[in-house]
Amino acid sequence: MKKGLMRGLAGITASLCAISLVATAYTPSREAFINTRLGTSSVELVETGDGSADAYYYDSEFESLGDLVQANVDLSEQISAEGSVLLKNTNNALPIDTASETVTLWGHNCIFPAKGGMIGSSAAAAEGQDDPGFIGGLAARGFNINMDMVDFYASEEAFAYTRQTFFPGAGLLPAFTPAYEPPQFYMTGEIPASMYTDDILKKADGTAAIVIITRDSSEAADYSPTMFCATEGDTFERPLALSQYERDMIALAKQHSTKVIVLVNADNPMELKELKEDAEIDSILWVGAPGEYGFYGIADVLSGAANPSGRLPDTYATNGTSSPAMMNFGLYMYTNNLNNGSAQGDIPQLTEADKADWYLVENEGIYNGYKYYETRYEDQILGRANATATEGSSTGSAWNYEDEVDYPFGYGLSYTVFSSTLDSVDLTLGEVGTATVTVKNEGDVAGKNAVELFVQAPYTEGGIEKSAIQLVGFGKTQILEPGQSETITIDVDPALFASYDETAVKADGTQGAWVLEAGDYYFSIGSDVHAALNDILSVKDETTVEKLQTINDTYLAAEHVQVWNLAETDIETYSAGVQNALQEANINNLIPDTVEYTTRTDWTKGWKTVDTLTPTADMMVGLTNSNYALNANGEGVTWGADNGLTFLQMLDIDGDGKIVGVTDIEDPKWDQLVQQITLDEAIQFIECGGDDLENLDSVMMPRTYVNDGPIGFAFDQVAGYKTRWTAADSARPTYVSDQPEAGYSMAVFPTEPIVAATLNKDLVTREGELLGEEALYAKESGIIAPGVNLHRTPYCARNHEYYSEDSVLVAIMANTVSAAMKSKGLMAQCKHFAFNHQELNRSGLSTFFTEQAGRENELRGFQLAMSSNNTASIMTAFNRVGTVFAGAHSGILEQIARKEWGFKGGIITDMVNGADYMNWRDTVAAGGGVMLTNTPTYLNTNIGTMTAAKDIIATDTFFQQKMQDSLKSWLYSVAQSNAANGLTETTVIKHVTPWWLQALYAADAVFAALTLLFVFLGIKSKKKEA
Amino acid sequence: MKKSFGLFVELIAAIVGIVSIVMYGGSLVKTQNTYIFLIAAVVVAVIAAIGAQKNPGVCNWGAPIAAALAAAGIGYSITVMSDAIGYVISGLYTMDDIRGWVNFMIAACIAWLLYMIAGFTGMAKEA
Repeated sequence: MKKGLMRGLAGITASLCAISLVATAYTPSREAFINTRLGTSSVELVETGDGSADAYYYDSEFESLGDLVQANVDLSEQISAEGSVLLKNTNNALPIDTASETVTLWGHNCIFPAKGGMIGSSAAAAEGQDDPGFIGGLAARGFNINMDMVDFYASEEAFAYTRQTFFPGAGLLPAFTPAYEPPQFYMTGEIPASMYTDDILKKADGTAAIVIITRDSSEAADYSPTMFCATEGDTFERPLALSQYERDMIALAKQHSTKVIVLVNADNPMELKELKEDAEIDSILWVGAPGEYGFYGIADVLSGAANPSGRLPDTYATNGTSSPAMMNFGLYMYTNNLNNGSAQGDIPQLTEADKADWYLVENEGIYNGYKYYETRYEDQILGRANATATEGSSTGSAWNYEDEVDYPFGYGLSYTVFSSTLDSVDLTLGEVGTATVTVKNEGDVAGKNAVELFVQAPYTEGGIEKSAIQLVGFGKTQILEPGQSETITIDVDPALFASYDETAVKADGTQGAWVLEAGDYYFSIGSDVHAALNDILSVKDETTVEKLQTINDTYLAAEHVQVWNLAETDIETYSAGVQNALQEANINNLIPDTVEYTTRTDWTKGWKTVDTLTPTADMMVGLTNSNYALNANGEGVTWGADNGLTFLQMLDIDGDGKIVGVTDIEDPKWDQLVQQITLDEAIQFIECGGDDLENLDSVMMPRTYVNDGPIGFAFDQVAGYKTRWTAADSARPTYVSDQPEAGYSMAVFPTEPIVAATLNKDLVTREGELLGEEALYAKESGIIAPGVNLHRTPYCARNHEYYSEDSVLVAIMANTVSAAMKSKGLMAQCKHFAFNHQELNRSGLSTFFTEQAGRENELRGFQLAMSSNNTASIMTAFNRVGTVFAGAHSGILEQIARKEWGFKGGIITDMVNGADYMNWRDTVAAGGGVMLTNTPTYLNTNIGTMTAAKDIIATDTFFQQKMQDSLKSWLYSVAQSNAANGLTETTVIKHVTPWWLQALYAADAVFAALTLLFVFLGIKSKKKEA
Repeated sequence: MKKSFGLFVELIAAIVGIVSIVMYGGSLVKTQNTYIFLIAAVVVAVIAAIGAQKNPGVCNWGAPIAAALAAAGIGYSITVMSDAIGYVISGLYTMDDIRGWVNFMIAACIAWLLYMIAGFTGMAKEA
C-alpha cells in the first residue's frame, strides 16, 4: 500500500513539475506582458555614476497627474465643441436656453452612448473616473433635464433592449477569426414605442426634445448593407439608415415636445435625408463618438456657450451604398479558397496557413467620397460623359446630385453668419505657397469660422483621371466678435494636388510621375466642397449658374475664387526618385479586364462587382507567402562589435539637458552602433515586438513600451497610469503609484473624425502634446496612433480611428498630431500602412487598386507625417497590397516610404494574426522590421521561429543587412523619444528576476525534489517489503 | 503476481490518450511538443502495461511517468493557445473557435487523471 501511495504521489508531483517546467520555459517569452500585469520588471536602470547628471530629457509641464487629467478634460471639451457639426438649425431651436427650457433626452442610447470604438479605441471610465455621458454632460452645464425619461430608459424593462454584443453599449460583433459570411447583424438598442407609457409621455410635454441616434464603431468589424437588426422587433433597410424604432421614437418626440433636436452619435455617415427634410425636426447636430469627456463640449454647443464651427469630414450620402467604392466592399473569395473553393487546374487550393481566401477590388479608382459625388455633379451640370445615367443612381432614375447627397464634405453651420474672401493665392512650383483669406463675422453672435481651400485642376476628357475638386488646405479663425474680421493664411503645397500619371516617363527614363498639367487652377473657399465647386463653375462659365444645385443656404460668390495659371505641364518637380511601385496591385495588370474602374469618360462604367477570381500562378507566390527564401550569400555582416558607443551618444542635448536632435541617420556612427548588437539580440528584438520593444543591452537601449491607440492609451493594454511603473522608478518626476488618478483610463479623447471636423491645428497640436504628457506619466514611449487610413466607404466600422475620406485632411491632421507628440518625446506610430480599408477578413485580404488611386488617396494621407519624419514609426496593415502582405511589400516600404519620402523611422507589423502570412522572413527581407508578437507564435508555423533559423540567417548577408537596417531605424526613432529619460552615460541595464519567475523556479525545484523523494521512498519501501 | 485493477485503468488511460492525440488535430493552434509528449505517454503506458506481467516492480512506475509526460503535453498545448484563450475572454473569439482544443483538453486531462490513478493502484501486484 505504501509503495502505491508513494508511486501515486510521485506521479502527481512529477506532473506538477512537468507543468511548472513548461511554464518556466514559456513565460519568459511573455515576460513583458506578465510584468505589466503584475507591476514587476525584469530590467532595471542602475546609475553607476555620482547621480548628479540630469537624466530627464523630456519633463512634464504639469505639477501633478491631477493637473494632466484636468487638461485632458478641458481639451476634450474644446475638441468636441469645435468638432461637433451643426447640420440643420431652423426656428432658432438652437441654442437652448438652459434657464427657461427643460430638455427631454429621447432615445434609449442616451444611457450607453457611443464614446469610442471597441478594442483599440474603447472609451470606458475606470473606477472613480468622471464618466458624464450625455446626461452628465448636460447636467454639468446647467440643463434642466426631464429625469423621468432618463429613469425610464435606465429601467430594467428598457435595459433588455440595450446594445450589448459583449457589454452594454456595444452593438457590433468584432471577430479576429476568418469570416465566410458577411456581418450578420447590428443592434440599434432602441426600444419599441409601445413601451412609452402615457405617464412618461406626459412628462415630456412642453419640453425640448434632444434625440440621440447612435451607431457603434469597432475594430475588427464592418457594417454590411445586408445586416439585419438584432434588437428585438426593430428593423432597418440598411444599418446606417434610421430603424423603425428610431422613427417611432422620433415621432413621439415630435408629438410631445416644443422642438426637436437630433444628435447624431455616430462616426459612420448615417443616412439623414428624412430628418433633413422633416420640417418638424428643428435641428441636427453631428457629435460623433466624443470620447470620455467630449459630452461637456456638446452641452456647450447646445447651450450656446460654444458656437459650432465644425465641418463634416465625410460626405453624408442619401444612401450610403450609392458610391462605386461600395461595389466590391464585403465578402469576396477566390475560387480556390479554403472554405467552399477548390483547386483550379494547376492552381492549388489555398490553405489555412496561407490566410488568403479573400479579396477587395477598389473599383472606384480615385473617385472615393466627395471626389465621386462632386466630380459626377460637375459632369452632370456640364452634360458630359453620361453623368446622368441611371448607373449608380440611388433612386433608379437619372442620376441627380440632389438625390444623392444630403450633406457634402466640409458642410457645417454656425449660430452666426460669416462672409469670406479669397484674397490671394501665391504659388511657385517646388515651394509651399500661401493663400490668404479674410473672414468677417456678419452676424450677431461671436464665433470661429473654419475655412477650407479647394482647387480644381485642369482636366482633359480622356486624359489623367481627376477629381473636379480637391482639398488643399484649411485654416480657422480665432473667435470673431460680431462685425470683427480676420485674415488667415493657408499653406498651399502644389504637391498635394498633383496627379499621379502611371504612364509618364521622366527625364531619367523611369516610369510614373507626379504631374501638374498646364492650364488654369481654380482655387475656392466655398462653405463646403459642393459650394466651392459651384463657385468655380459659376466663375468658369456664367451660363452654368442656372443649372447649379445648391445645398441648403450655400451661396455663390466670385470673391471665393482665385485662378492660378501654370504655363507648362510639369512632371519632374515632385517626382524625384519616383517610379511605379504598385502596378501589381492593379488586378487588371495580373488578370486583364477583371474590373471596370470608375472613369470620368463614362459614368456608366465602374458598377460591376468582381464576383469570381482565380489567382494566377504568379499571384499564388504572394498568396502562399513565399516572397523570400533565406539563402547563403555575401560576406556576412558584423555583429557584436566593441565600438564603445551607446544609444545615448547619438543624441544632441542642449545646455538645459534637453534632446534637441539626433545624429543624422546617414552618419556612419549609426552603423557602428548597430554592429555592436549581437545576432541573438537582433533576433529577439525583431521577433518579439509585442507589448514592448525589447531592450538592447549592447547599445544601452532600454526596454520601451508602445501601445494603442488613437484616443489615448487603450485601457485593456495599459490599465491606468500606474501600470508600467515599479518601485525602482519611484525617484522619477512623473512616477505614479497611489495618486487618486493612478488607475484611470487614458483612452479619453474624442475620436479622429471629430478631431478632423474641428479643422483647428492648434487643438490637434495640443492633443499631441497631451498624449506626450500621458506617456510621461504612464511610462510609455510610443503610441500606435494616429490612425491614418482613408474613410473609403461609410460602412467600414473602423472609420472612428481614422480622420476623413479626404487624404489631404488626413495628411495634415496626422502630421500635426505626430509633430506635437514628437515635441514631448512620444513616438507616433501612424497606422495602418497601408490600404486597410476593410475590417472584415482584414487578416490576409488581397486589396487591389490602381497605383494612381493608391498614391493620390490612401498614401497621400500618410505622406506628410512620414516624409517629415514627425511620425517616429509606422505600423503596417493586416491586409495584402495586391497579393503581398502589406508588411512585406517592398513597393510601399522601400520604394515609396524610404526612397521617395525619405522616411527614416521604425516599421512594425500589426499584431501577428496569421503567423505564416505575417512571417518574419518576408517582412524583414522587404524592408519591414519588427513583428508585433512573441516567439511562440511562430512555433507552429511552416516557417518556424526566427530563433530556430539563426544558423541559416547567419549565412544570408542580404537578410542580415535588412535586419540591421531595421534596427538602425528603430534606434533612430527610440533615441528621440522619452525612452532616454533616466539614462546617463554611467547608467547600466541590470537584469533582475521578477518574483513570479523566482516562484516558478522554486516550484520547479520543490516538485522535482518531492518527486525524487517519493520515488526514493517508493523504492525503499519495496526493498523493505522484499 | 496478479493482475490488478490498475492495469485496466492504465489501458483505458492509454486509449483515452490516443483519442486525445487524434482530437488535438482539431485544435485551433497546435504544437509538435504536445504530440511528442502525449505519444510518449501512451508508449510508456502501453510498454509498462505489457511489461507489468513480468516485472511489476519497475513497470508499475510507468503510470506516474506517463502522467508526467501527459502533463507536459497538456502544458505545451496551453502555451500556444494562450492568445486564443485571451481573445475568447475579451470576446474576439467565441468558444466555437477553441472548441476543438477544449475537447482535446477534456480527453487529455481524463487520460492524465487515469495515469495518476494507475500510479496509485499499480498495474500488477508485486510479489
